[in-house]
Amino acid sequence: MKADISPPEMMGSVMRRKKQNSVASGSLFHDQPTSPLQQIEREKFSSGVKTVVESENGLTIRQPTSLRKSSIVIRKQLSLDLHNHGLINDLSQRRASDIKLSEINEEYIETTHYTKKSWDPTVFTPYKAPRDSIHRFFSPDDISENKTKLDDIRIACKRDYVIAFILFCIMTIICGTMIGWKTHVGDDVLFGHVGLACRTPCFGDIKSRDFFNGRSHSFSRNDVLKIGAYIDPLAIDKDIEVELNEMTSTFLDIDLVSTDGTVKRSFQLGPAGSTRMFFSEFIQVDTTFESPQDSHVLNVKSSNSENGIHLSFTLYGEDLSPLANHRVIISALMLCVVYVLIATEVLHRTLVAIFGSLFSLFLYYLMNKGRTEELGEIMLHVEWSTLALIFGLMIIVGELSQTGIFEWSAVRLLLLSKGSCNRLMVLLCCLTVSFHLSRIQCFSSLQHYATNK
Amino acid sequence: MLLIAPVTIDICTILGIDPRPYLIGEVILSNIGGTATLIGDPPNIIIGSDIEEVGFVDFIINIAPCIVVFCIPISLAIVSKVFVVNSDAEQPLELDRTRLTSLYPIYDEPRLLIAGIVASFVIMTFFFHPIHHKDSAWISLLGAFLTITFTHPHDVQTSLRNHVEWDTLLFFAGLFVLVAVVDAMGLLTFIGEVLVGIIESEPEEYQQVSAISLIIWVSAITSGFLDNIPFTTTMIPVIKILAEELPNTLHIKTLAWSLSFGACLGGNMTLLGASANIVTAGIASSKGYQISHYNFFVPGSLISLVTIAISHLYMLIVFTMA
Repeated sequence: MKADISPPEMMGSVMRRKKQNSVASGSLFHDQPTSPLQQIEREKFSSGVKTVVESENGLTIRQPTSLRKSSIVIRKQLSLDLHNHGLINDLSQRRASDIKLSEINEEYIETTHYTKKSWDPTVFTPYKAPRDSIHRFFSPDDISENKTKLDDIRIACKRDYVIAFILFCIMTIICGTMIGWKTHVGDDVLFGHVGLACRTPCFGDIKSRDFFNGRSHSFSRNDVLKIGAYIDPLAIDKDIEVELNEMTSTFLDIDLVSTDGTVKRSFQLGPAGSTRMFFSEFIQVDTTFESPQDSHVLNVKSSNSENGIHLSFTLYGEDLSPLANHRVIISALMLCVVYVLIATEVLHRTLVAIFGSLFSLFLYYLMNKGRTEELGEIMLHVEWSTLALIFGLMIIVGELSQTGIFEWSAVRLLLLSKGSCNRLMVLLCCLTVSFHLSRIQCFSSLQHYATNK
Repeated sequence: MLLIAPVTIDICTILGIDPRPYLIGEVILSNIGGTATLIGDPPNIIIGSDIEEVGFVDFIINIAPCIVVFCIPISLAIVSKVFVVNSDAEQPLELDRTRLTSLYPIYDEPRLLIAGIVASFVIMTFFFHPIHHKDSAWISLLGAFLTITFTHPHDVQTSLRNHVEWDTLLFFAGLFVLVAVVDAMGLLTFIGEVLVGIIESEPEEYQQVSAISLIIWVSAITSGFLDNIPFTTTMIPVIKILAEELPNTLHIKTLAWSLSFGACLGGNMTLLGASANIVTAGIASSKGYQISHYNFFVPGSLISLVTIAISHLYMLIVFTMA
C-alpha cells in the first residue's frame, strides 16, 4: 500500500510524516476565532468529521449545511490531492469503500530536499502546493459514489439562464460593435501629436544664437551630445504628390556648426515615412571640438530637397555625461546581469526585472547628468495593451476554472480516448498541435503506473 | 495558451504525471506554429502592419511550407527526445467511466454560463481580428469586467486576488521598462548599424546570402534574450534602409521573411524570449509546478537552434537559387 501512496517519483524526493487527523478540522479555517457563532460552527464541523471517521463502512454522512459553501473548494482540492498522492491512480481497481480510513487520515507534510541542484532538464522542482489551498484530505465521503448527490453542486436554474441570455445580448452588441465599427487610429486627427516645431530647410543663426547653442552651460570635453528628432511621417506640401518610397528615402541632414563656421559633424536622421518617428544620434565631444564651451548651431535640411520634399520635425538636444561613451557596453552588460540573475533563479524573476529596470534607469539618469523623468513618463514605455490583454484573459480563465469546466473537459478527453493512449494523443492533437510531442512521456508514465499496480 | 494550459495540467493530474514536459512542449510548438501566419506571433503582426509589401497570403506561401513541413516534425522529435524515458509498450488504460464523471462534475453551472459566454465571444472576436483591426486588449478587458459584474457584483477583490497573476504582469512591466531604457541607450540601434555596415561591405553577389544569414541569426539570438517585440520594431527601419540602399541585390520581402523567422523562432530560446513562455510558466507555478529556467532552456534552445538552421537553409535555397 505504501507504494501507492507515494507521489509520482518524478516530483522528486519527498519526506513525509504522519499526523493526527484531528488537526484537519480545526486548522482548515486558519482565521482567528472571533464570534461565538463561528466557534459553534467549527465544533459542528469537527463533529461532522468525527462521525465520518466512525463510519468505517463507507456510508455517507452529510456535512453541516453551514459548511456547504466552503466545501466546494475543499472538494475540488481533495480530488486533486488524492491524485497527487497516487490514491486514485488506479481508479478501476479500487472502489472508494475499499480505501481504508487509516490511509486517508494520514496527513502528509511534504518537506523537500534541496540538496543539490540537478542540471538535468527533465528533473523538475518538486510539486509545491499553492499556499492558499487547503492541502489535506478531508473526509472519505467525498470520494464515495454519492458525491454527485450532495447539494453543493450549483445547478443553473431559470433565473441563471435569463441572466445568461442578457449577458449574451450584451456580448453580441459589444462584439458586433467591435467587428462592425470602422474606426481608425490617428491618421486624420485635428491636431497632430507634436506640433509643427520647425520645417526644413532650417538654418541656425550663429550671431543671434537662435537655435541650438549649447545651452547656457556649455558642454565640456568627452561629453556626449544626443540629438534626436521627431520627424513627421507626412510631407509638408500636400500639393506635391509624394510616393511613399520617396518619403522613406528622405532623411534629415543635420550639420553641427561651430561659431567660426566650420562643420564639426554632419549626420542623418531618418528615414521619414516609416512607422518609427523618433530618431536620435550620439555625438562624442572629442578633440575635433576645439572649444566645446562656445556656442554651436545646428543646420537642418531635407536630403531630398531638390525634389521639393520638405519635412516637419521637432528637434531636441541633450548633453550627456562622459559615461555615455560606454552606453552600448553598459546596456549589454546590464542585460547580461539581469539575464543571469533570472536564469540562476537567485531571486524571483519579477523582482529581478523590477530592480533591473530601476537600476538601468539609475544608470540612464547618471548618463543624463541627473536629469530624471517623472514616473508617469516611464510608464509610457510599458506596453499596456499587452498587459491588459493578459490581465483580462487571466480573469476570464480564472472564473472559468472555478466552475470545473477544465476538469470536466479533461475527463471527457480521457473518456473519449477510451483509455487508449494513442487515441488520447490524437484527441489532444486536435486541441493543440503541440500535444503530439509528449506521446512518449505519456507511455512512460503509464508504465510507471502499471508497475506500481 | 491561457486556455490550453489549465486543461493540460488537469489531464496530467488525473493521470498522475507531471504536466511540465507537456507544457514546455506546447509553448515551444505554439511559438513555432505562430510563425506561419501573419497574425500568429507579435513580430509577424508588426512586420505585416509596417511593411506594405507583405500580406497575409504572402506569409502562407513563403513561410508556412517551411514551418509545417520541416520545423514542426523535427521539433516534435526533439521534445520527445529530451523528455524521453522509454517508448515501447502501448497499453490501454482502463478507466472507470461513471466514477470519473462523478468525481469531476461541473459544480458551478451559473458561473459557467456567464464565463463561458464571455470567453466564447472574446475568442470569436480574436479570430475576427483581420477584419476589424482593433486592439485585442479592449475586448479582453471588457469581457473580464463583465464577467466580474455578473458573477460577483459586489466583490471585485476576490477575483482580482485569486485569478490575476500579478507577478507575471509586473515582470512584463519591468521588462518593458528595461528594454525601453536599453533602447534609449542605443543598444538596438547599434546592432542595426553594425548589421548594415557588414552587409554593405560584402561584394555584391554575396550580399543577399550574407544579409539573410545575418538577419536571421542576429535577430534570433537577440530576440531569444530580449523580448522580440521591441527588437522587431527596431529592425524594420533597418531592413527598409537595406532594401533602399541595395535595391539590386536585396528585396524587402526576403529580408522581412528572414526577420520573421529569426524573431519568432528565436523566442523559443529562453523562458524570456516570448510572452507566451512567461505566461505559461506563471500559470504552472500558480498551480504548484515551478518551471525553472533550465527546464525550458535545454529543449527550447535546442529546438530554436535547429529550426533556425532549417529556416536558414530554406531561405538560402528558395531565395538565392531562384
